[in-house]
Amino acid sequence: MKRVLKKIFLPCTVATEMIEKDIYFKLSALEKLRLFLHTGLCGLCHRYQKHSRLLHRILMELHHEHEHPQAPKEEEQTALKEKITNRLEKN
Amino acid sequence: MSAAKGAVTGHHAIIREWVQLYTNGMYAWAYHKTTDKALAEDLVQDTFLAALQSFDKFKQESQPKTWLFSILNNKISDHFRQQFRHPVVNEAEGGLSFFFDEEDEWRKERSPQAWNTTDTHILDNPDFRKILQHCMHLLPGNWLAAVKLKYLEEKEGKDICQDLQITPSNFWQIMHRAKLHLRNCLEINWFKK
Ligand SMILES: [Zn+2]
Repeated sequence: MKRVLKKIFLPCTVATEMIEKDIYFKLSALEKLRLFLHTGLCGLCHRYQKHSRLLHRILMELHHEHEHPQAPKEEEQTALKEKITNRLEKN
Repeated sequence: MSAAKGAVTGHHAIIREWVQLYTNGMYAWAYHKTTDKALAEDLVQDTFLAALQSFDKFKQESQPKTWLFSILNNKISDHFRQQFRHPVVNEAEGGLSFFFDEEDEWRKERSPQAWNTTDTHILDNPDFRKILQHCMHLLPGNWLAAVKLKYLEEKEGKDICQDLQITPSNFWQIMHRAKLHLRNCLEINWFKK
């Protein structure tokens, strides 16, 4: 029994890697089971999973925002427009 | 003036108008994605030059803004793709041994601690955003490029692998290392406060 458990119980390195794989790809049924078993017994990896999913949501949201709160300064914008217009003239 | 020359002059006039109308929005967007002022300027400039060169491809039925932003987004993605030069994770610089011991278990001092929030609303806090940018920029360039490609383009993992010509396991290993470091950095600088 112990040998079977040892075989099926993932090390934390692999468990955390699978947590990422789960987010970006799909896990097989067996991988899902093994990860579920691990996070059920390993509090740290369970915590890592929660944090990792939160980070995923934060990053998704960050790149979804179309309005940037810090708009560039007025004079920078004018300078840039001028620079681009000049550049276009040469083409 | 020949008809062709007249048409070209016409394109110039239209693009000049677009420069006035859309530069601000495009620059803000490019800066938001790259957090680099000089780079953002270059990308916007390149976008207008590309728009001028391929003006014939612009279809009148689509909005100029939509068209320009699609060119700009391609330029931004190209930039990240170019940044991504060393796809294979180097064990020395991103070794798992930073976080895990010989038994493949968490090192106590770098193991995940309880966080004081589980909410994406922290993005409303400008201080948190600063910390997040800071932590992202501590990542090795190619990891950051992979992270940005994933979230910028909202692509599926398998499509990014095709883009970067890496295997899926390469990709999730990079994300694994990147997330381990990012998580740790945010924990130290923010969530443990
Ligand atoms: Zn574990």
